[in-house]
Amino acid sequence: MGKTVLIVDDSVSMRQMVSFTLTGAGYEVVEAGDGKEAVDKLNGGAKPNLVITDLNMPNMDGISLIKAVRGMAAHKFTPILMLTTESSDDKKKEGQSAGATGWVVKPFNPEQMLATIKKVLPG
Amino acid sequence: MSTATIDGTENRDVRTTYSSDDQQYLTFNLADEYYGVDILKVQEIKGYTTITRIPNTPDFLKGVLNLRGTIVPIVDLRMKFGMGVTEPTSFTVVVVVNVRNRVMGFLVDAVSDVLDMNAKNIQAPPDMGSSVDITFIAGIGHAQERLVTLLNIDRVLTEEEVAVVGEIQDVEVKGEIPA
Amino acid sequence: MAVDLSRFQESFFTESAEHVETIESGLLALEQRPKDLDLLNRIFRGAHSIKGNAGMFHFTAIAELTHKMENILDDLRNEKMPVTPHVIDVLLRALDGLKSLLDAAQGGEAADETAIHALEGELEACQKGSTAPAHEGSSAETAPQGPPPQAATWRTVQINWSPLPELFQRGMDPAQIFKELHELGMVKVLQVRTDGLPALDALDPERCYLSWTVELETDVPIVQVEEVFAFVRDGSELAIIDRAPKKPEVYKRVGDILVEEGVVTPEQVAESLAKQKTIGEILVEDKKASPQQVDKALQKQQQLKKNEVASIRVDTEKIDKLINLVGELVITQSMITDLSEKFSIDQLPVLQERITQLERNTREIQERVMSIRMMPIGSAFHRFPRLVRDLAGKSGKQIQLVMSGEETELDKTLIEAIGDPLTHLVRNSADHGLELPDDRLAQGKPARGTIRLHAFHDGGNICIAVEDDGRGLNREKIIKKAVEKGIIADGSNMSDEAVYQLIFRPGFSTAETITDVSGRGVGMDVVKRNIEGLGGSVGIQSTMGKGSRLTLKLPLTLAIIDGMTVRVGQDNYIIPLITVTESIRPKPHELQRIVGKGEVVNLRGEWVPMVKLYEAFGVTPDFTDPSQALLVIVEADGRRVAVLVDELTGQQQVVIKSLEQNYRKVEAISGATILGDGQVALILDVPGLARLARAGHIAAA
Repeated sequence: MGKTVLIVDDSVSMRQMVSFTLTGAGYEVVEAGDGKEAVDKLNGGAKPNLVITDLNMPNMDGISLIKAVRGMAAHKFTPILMLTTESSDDKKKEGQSAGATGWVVKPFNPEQMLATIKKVLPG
Repeated sequence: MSTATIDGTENRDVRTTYSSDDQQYLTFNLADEYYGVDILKVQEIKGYTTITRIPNTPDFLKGVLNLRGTIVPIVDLRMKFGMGVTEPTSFTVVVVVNVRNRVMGFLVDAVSDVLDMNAKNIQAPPDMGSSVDITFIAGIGHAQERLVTLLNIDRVLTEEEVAVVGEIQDVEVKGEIPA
Repeated sequence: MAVDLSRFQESFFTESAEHVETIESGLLALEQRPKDLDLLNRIFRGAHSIKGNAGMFHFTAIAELTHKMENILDDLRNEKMPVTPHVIDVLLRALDGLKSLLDAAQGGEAADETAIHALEGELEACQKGSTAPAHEGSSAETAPQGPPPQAATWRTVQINWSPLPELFQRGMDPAQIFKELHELGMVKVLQVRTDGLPALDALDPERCYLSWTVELETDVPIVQVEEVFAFVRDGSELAIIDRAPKKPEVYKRVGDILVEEGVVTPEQVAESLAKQKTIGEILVEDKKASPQQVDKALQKQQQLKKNEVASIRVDTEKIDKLINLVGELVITQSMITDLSEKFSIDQLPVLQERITQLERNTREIQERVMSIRMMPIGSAFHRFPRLVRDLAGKSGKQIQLVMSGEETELDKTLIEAIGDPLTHLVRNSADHGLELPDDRLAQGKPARGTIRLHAFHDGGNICIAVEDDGRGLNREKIIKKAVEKGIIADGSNMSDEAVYQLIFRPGFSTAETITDVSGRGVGMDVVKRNIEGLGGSVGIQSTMGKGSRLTLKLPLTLAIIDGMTVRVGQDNYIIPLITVTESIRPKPHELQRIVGKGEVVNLRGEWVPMVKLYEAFGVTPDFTDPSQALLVIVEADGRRVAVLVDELTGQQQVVIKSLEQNYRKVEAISGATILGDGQVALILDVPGLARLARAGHIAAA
């Protein structure tokens, strides 16, 4: 049975790309365009095994999303990967304090993405 | 609208199997003459319906009609061949063909058969001297003791007659209104 | 697994174009409100996204340039440097460079690499000029990571790890770590230390109290071992015992090295780089090609670029609604099919009701589908703040641009098509409309002139007004000019509007001097013709000394127009409603025949030429006498024409179909449409009719 990954990014091309990569690797993908939409999807019953989120997003940014997800009983321990750029070392710390499991550094190639997912997604 | 007679739409699928040696021709008549066109060029046959006249176009251009949302020009083949105006009857049909990436309809008196015609039964068009334009005649065929004039349907209208935008624009400015 | 990412490039370009717009408008606004942190964040986010995404698609040059822009933006955001006009200038120019890189990446004209490098130099100089050197290291971030570390020899690596108690709350499972270590080699020792465990009553099951010691036998480089702990290092106590290999220096450009060694300054590098030439320039200098040939090649390149397949981004919401509607349509259709199978006449009301339903579904779907092509006009406005800023800079005028109604939606094709005409009007306002600050002050106006761009819906049309508070149009000057140019004989009896419309005549230009910014051969006549080509019109209002207002009125979409159906004899024609001003039945004394020049009708003092459709189109009408028939007054090219028809039969929206697709252009006909009964009706080309009228009555106007 495929695991489900929730991808949160305001960039359509990024979502398309990640989604394509993951689907190809046998994951099921749910997409959200920003933190708010992601929270709505989670409250609406989406049960991802992993959340991948961008940090810079309109409406609700990645850090707020991570905090919100950690506040949900169902997702207290769900791994969360944030998409960041190398220049944002502080962001990594901030994200982790908020509850992020890890990060994927942009730019990444699909193989790196899959390797990182394997790192945090049990089974 | 200048002419209006309708007698039921008659859509027939004219494509059937044919052997590779033979070529198939859809035959039709204009008055008592028989003509044929390469069936692969024929898109469909449509019953005659009201045609909307287009002003300031040659006589043989009967007008346009609506073919499932596409505007298709209709040529009165009798007019084009100098045989007078087609008077629509219940047999009158429009043969819709694909000519140089355009869809056009040809108004004919009636369609008759689909003929398998072997190349050996087709003669080159006769030399009629320069008085008759025969570029649109592909050859003369014999079938069931009848002579069938095979048409190069692409050539029936000259390039100028299906000319693209632009050329008539110049005329426009000089064009006169009948006073 | 090799994945081809090129299929997502198109989205990347669409997105980047949007970000570029955000950045551009943001920078311009930032100049006015340097303290607006939200704005800065928005700009930053735009640059940041482009950088990140460009990296994904291996557009290194784009990533590098945006990275440097981002650095400055970040400093501005953190108040490490102030927002100055200079910074904005540099960023705006960098943005232009970015646009050219994006174009190039899309297969357009190759970007001028030297110019890009110069820009990067400027960006760095700009940043270094005002920030501490501590920031310098960051510029190497997007550089390649150097050669991959070489495999090390077999050895034992000892790891002592006491994770952060919140490990679980971060979604991390320690077992994952060990599994990963196991993949690197052989885990010889895995020892759990429980000395951190509290008493049971104090134990929080959601916290991690354990720590581990691992001995791993491996041949992988130590960085790979460190990598395993990448996500848990922060807050953990972690010791990995091994010798770390030295990292070799990464590749650098010569200019960068010289700057680093203090031999030259970044400015000097930028200056030298600016001396580099484009391939076109070099070819011309070497006499290998003429400037004309190079120009032609460039034009061809532009043309090729234009041939790209256009795409539209559509909100999924719009698509979802459409799918729902299609669902409803299918249901209605099956209900009707069902009904027709066992139909009896007493069910007629049911049938009628369902057909009404079908109509409603169809109309809604039509509207929705149309709305897919609709985009906010704002995307056509984006270029103006920049344009006005540049124009003001060049002309020494002070100009304020106020835009409103950016959210007004219209057809995408129209948005693209009105860009140039609008630009022309804005330029015109800036160049000819507004006065120099001193002149304005002398007239008691504020030194700073205002140009207003306002878009709004008006019935089935969209109006875009370009308004300025400048000197306004000078009636007398226009008349004088028009007489000089032989456009009119005498203008004393003309209405103001008619006089103003003269500026749209070909060959008319009131500009006393041709400046750099406008008057480059494209006149107002072209603006007018373009707008009319789109089925629209241009109106002018003006008050001397107070300013002018030009209003473009356009249909919402090109595919559907509001039409007036008219009948002549047995033929029906459609006249685009937007061109119709009125219809009248003239009195015999209002008609006059001008010998050799055709017929005219007196319309409240103005003689309007008449086109008799029955004559023009060769049909047999019900009436040949205009005083028994009807005259539809239409307007095109700023002239009025009276079209003689038998009867008005109604008004309806019609879908425009091409005659040219299968036939050709026909004089005075702009297209065709299909009426409710399936018949084809022709749509009249009003400017074409006007030309017909002119051809028949050359001096009547």
